[in-house]
Amino acid sequence: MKVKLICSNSYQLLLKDFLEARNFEISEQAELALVEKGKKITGDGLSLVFNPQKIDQLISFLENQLLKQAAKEEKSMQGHLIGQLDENYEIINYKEIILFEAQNSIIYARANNKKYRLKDKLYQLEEELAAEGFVRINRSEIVNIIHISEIVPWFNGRLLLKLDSKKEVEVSRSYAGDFKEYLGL
Amino acid sequence: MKKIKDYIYNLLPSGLVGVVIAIFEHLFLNPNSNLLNSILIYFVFGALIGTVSALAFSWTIYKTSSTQLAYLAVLFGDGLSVFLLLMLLGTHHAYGWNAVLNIILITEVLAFFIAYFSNRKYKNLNQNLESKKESLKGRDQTEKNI
Repeated sequence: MKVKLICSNSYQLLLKDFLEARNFEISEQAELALVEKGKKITGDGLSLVFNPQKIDQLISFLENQLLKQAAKEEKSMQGHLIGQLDENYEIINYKEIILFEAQNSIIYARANNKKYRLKDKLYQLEEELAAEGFVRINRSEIVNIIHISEIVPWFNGRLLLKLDSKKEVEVSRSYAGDFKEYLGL
Repeated sequence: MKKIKDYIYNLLPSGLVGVVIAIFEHLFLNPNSNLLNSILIYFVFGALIGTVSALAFSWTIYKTSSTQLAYLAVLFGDGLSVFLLLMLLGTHHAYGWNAVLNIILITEVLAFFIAYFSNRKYKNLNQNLESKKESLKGRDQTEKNI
């Protein structure tokens, strides 16, 4: 974000260091201006007038705003994963993920008819996303419960899951017990 | 190899029901019966009924999602497989067609029970799936409102 400083040199140095350390850019074309009391407000953007005697007030105000911004950003990343699609990285919402699968030690997430490559390990995803509705169904797959349309008891103690995407996956005999437990059976 | 082992594990419980019936028959109904022979025959019958019924139920539900059709498939599959087994054993020569019919009717009752319990399992699984999905959606909605 760009910020314009309209203040005496001593405050300018202090604020410049403070803001640049927090990824702000000091620019004359900025929409937001920090203006020392008594100085002339220029430009059409938003101006924040501060009392030089109470510079700590401005610093703590800016700190609070930055903390709020960081918390907002963190919250907006909750419920998302970053997946690689060809050369690009995309943010994938948990709800869109149908299943995670391991193929030759590489983990993929299937969502929106696309196959994203992930850096996480299957056991990490299993632990971290259990509360989000993801459950391990065999050695190489974790499925999102909300995308299962039907469960069919299958032969040899296995279960067959019909997914919304028309794909079918099997819960292996060794994972069937945990799967039923997850469903509360 | 693992698949074969799995199939054997699956056959055992239903086959063992046949063994229990053979022992019951020997102890209380016909002490003169050849226990070893009875165990062998009843084991094969038990395994066949259990396997065919479970397979017919799963396959029909998978293909049609219809419980009524699944019951019919179990009764038909079980009746047909028991009939073929009886023909193979020559039961109709030894005891007549009436015996064949009686055995099929008895095994159909067993098959019906297997279908009933398979259906209960199917319904329970899908009911619990739906309630789990609802609770996850409800939680998401609450978080959104906050």
